[in-house]
Amino acid sequence: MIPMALLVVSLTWGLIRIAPGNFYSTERKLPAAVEATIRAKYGLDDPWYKQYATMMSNVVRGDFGDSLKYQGQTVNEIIWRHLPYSATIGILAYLFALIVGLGAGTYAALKQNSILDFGPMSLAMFGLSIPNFVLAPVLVMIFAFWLYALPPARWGGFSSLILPVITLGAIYAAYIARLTRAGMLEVLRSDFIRTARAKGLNDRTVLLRHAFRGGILPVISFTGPALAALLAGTVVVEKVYALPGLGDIFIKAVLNRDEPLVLGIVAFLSILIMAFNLIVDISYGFLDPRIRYE
Amino acid sequence: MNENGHNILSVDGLRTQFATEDGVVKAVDGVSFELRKGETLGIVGESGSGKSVTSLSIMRLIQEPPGKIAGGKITFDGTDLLSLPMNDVRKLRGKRIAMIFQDPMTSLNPFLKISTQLTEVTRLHLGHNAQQARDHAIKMLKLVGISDAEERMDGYPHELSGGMRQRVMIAMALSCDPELLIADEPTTALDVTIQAQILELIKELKDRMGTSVILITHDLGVVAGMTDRVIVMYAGKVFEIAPTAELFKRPANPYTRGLLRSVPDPEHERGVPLYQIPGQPPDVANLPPGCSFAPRCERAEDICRSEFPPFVEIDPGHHSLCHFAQEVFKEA
Amino acid sequence: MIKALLRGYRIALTALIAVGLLSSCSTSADSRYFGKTEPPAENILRYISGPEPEILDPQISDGQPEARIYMALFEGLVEYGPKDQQPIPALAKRWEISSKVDEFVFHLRDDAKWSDGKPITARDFVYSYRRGFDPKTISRTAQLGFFVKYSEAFKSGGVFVKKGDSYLLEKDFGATEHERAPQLGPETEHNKFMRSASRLVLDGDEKKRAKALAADPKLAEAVNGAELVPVKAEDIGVEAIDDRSVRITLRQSAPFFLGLLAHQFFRLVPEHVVEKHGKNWTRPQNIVTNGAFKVKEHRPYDALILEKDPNYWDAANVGLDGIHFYPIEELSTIMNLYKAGSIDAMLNHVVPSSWIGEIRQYKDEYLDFPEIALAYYSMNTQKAPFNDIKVRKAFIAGLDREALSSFRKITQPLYAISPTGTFPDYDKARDRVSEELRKEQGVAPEEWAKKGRFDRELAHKLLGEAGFPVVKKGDGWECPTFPTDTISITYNTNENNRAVAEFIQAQWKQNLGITVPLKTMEFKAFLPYMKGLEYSGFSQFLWSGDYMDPYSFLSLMYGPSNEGATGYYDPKFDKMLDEANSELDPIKRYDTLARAEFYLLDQAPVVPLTVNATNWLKKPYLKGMYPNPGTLIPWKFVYIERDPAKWDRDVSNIMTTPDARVDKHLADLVSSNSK
Repeated sequence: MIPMALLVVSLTWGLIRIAPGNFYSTERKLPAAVEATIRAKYGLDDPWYKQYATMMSNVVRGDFGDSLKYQGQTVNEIIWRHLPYSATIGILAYLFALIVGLGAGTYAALKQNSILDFGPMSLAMFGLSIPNFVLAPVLVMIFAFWLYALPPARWGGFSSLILPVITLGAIYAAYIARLTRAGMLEVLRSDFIRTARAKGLNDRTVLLRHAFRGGILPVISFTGPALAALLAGTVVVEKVYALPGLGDIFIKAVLNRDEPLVLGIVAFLSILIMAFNLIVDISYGFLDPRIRYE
Repeated sequence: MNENGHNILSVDGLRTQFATEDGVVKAVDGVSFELRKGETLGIVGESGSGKSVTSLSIMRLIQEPPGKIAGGKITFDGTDLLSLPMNDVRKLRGKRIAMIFQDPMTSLNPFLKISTQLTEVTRLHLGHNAQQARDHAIKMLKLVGISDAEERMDGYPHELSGGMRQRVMIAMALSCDPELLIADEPTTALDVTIQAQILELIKELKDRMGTSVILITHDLGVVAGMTDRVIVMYAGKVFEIAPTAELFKRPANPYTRGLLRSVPDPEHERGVPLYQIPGQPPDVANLPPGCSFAPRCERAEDICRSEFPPFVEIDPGHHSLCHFAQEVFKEA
Repeated sequence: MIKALLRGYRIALTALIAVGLLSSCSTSADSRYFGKTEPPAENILRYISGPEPEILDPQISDGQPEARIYMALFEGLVEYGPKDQQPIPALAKRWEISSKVDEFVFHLRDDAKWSDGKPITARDFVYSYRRGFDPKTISRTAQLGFFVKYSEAFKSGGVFVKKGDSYLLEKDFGATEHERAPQLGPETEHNKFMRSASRLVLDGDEKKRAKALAADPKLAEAVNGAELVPVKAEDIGVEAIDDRSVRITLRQSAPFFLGLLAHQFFRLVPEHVVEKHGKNWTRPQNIVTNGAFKVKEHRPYDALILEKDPNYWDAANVGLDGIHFYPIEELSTIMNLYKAGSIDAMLNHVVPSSWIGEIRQYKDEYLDFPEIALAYYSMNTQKAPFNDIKVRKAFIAGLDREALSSFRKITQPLYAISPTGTFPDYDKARDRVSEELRKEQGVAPEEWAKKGRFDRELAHKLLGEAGFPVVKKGDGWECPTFPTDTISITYNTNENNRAVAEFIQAQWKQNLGITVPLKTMEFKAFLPYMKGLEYSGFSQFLWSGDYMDPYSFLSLMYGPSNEGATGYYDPKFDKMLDEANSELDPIKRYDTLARAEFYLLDQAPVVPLTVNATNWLKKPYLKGMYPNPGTLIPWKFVYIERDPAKWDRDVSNIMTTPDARVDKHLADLVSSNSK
């Protein structure tokens, strides 16, 4: 996992260096001597392989240095300070998606082809088609202004999390609902479900003990790529709801050409995504005994 | 009917239908029979004859929709199963009436351990705690001939062979010592040698535990060795019912006769084509008026095509659904 | 269980909708105001300051959002006046200015203290300015202070040339020595040095120096065998005469310099903290400030919480107990927060164009005043065909700027190179000079009024003369010979910029038959492309004035490597500007500047576009906060009025409506200057 992350960091470093512009340029002209001082301080006039080597030797030790734009703050400090915000929203959003999606999907599967199936599933289709940057203002309009129930933005207490979590999780709830419904229908048709019923087990036990594990397998496979996409989704949600999360900071860092911060976040995110995928693989084996690595 | 004790099961005019794109399919259309305590009853028929649907109807395992039990009465030990609330039906399932299915590969849950699937029955119906259920399950596994029962308990179905899996299913079904066991094509998916073993097992357990058995199959050979009486079904109806020996020796229905003739005889002459019942199995959604078998019957006459045949009593215990039942009987 | 959950969802949803319908019937939002309008329970201002500040060190950052925060935390000799941004006394209670505006002596207050209680002395000023000009500090705003003698040399790492006991002087190598006004304040060694003839300064970098010497043999000769002495901090023109007096010596006359001293660069930094903590001195646990407020808590990207500083010398008059700065950039989010009553005011340029129609009606809250900021398209005069003045003038004439401003809704058309509407005296000077020029050139008034305005016929004529005739095509025009494949309108990626570019492109297509391609790039990539004159055709250029003087804009084109991004350089223009700055009579000075501006306009290096409007909202209970031309608010004047009868009504009059409290506060401060 670590070598992969280092590779990603190297590629990112290359891309930042190739992109025109640098972190210290602004609309005002910088006196030549000052520019020289900056370049000397950061070793910007050294040959590229020397700069690369310096960067890598620090990165391997987990030292990303200071942010170039927010002078005096280290990259690690910035990441750990803002990660909890993104993580909270992301995890809550996915939990929301799981609860709503699994629930709605299971229910729709049980009531297949009735109005209670078509209703939620059409809503899901609708939910899939709405991008989160459209959903957000609509939710704000309804809940912050028509109903005066929730704050329109900013981090502060539980009520301020509700709209961002829904905005971020809605599309995944829709996906999961559809996947669950399909998975459940598939499983509920199985012979072993018939056997379970023939043993006198009630619907609830049949559903939860016998059908569930098989039915949610498609959702588990979905979780890997979904969590990666969720990370991207946090950017928009953080921007619109003014939450101090890592996603928004990452975008700003790129636009600011704040190389250490970009590299730090990229390294962190790649390890995170790889860890997610690993967990998903493991849980797959946990759920389906047929594919365990004996 | 009441020769050796009372009837454990009585099916009277059962009608089960399915709503399909092509219309209403009457999968079971007026089936009646009785099962005596301790008896083994065979139900024979081709695919689509309604034999499986009959057994599922008894267990109330018909999916509603698209299926529906449209009429009739099923009495089990004095209780009317069709009017029973589902909660009570579930109390019977697995405890007093048990069922084993055709394909053990798909009938066991691949995600759960063998132990879970076995113990849940006794924990539910007999109130066992975890240890009791486990002990009982191991006992049952040994009973069905799985010697390394302890190790097998914590394994998964995919680790077992087809025959072993079916043994597990039998163990599962008999865990609570049910009064009635319905075995729906229990050996069809197994190798021939294993088939014999399983059938032997069922016979042995049935004798030991005094279980009444309904054995459903399309294979007359299976029926011959296992059953006391046989029902022949076609197009959702009972076409003939008789004690096994008599059915084989002296069938009273052209369809039964056709079935018997279709069984390959080792001494069959070489070069002469094997007998098949002419025609195609019936389209149960669009049955012809009159006798459902008429289109394929060599003995069919005009009356067969226009009038529904009577259920003729040849002997007590031997009935046939045919206009010419007596004649066929005499021809045997 | 799941069924129960879903049933629960349905009940909840129905209940929510029911509540909503009920509550919307009895809405509490007053339709006179935009959204919830209730003063906050505490005496604290909640303000959207813009992007997260890059650092809390006032001498480092050049951003306006940072500037507003610095104004709450740090103070300098003078402060911006709340209404007009003209300098008012701050740490300096009074001052003397030399007759040629080339030297200042400031007398400091006795009671000024840092937030940790340490007294502020003249030494602090000397330290701060030396530190600001130090190249190691990497200040991005230091160049504003280059009028201070030898400050540019120090920051650029320059060297003096010492031969024997004496130094080489500038005037011996072609420069004109500035004739100084009589001495101001007591004589000191340092002041003698300052008043002596300016020393020659060479580049500190060896290679560059060698190049300069190679180009000038006389210079090379003189330098040969001389000692090179680096310019040090002690050489710059700031001096502590005593504990309470600061003297600043400029290298030339700079009439606007006093106003410039309110800029964040000239605010004080605490020596004892900077020296002790280095780059970490601005962390909340270390930082020490001297402004009306001090840092209570800093949660980056979430909030910067300030509280009133009891050690501040004017604490008794500070209206607020604290300020919360929220760093939010998304415009609709800011508007939503304002509407929900979660914030009280915001920075400038926030209301999105699509909302303006609706927001304008809130006359008690919406502030629409001119700013000292403008937009123009610079033209690369070094690349054909824009090296031809006729082509440049044609494009200027081919653009209807009135239409552009109607389209933008929040701007006014611009026909000059400095903003109109923010310098009343300069506007008058421009009118005067315009009339004089007209008479000199003997042009009829109607003809003169059309100068620089939208004039399609003139545009066609000029293009024709330049060799690119415009011919009629159907209902419109076309100019087939014009090389549109080599030029473009370049702008940095941004919703507003794009809208403007598309509008202008359509204008030129419609009026001239020329479709100029558009080119967009991200900000950091755009900067070198524009400033390095790599672009061809037009580049968007936005500029805000650093200080309240038209020179802040005209200086863009001053000097051979100026910031105007056009490649334009004219020594004649430079001379006109120098002349203006040595003029001590402000009226005459403005006239001279106006002449220089008109001269520049005649050279047509840019297509002037628009002057920005302030475009922000504040709650009517917030007083002492004015839409001055830079939206730079001196926070100590702000207070929350809890009596609705006294709330702001119709803010278009806000600058002239008297406010007893603010007016008295100002009067007290200003009167101290005469004592």
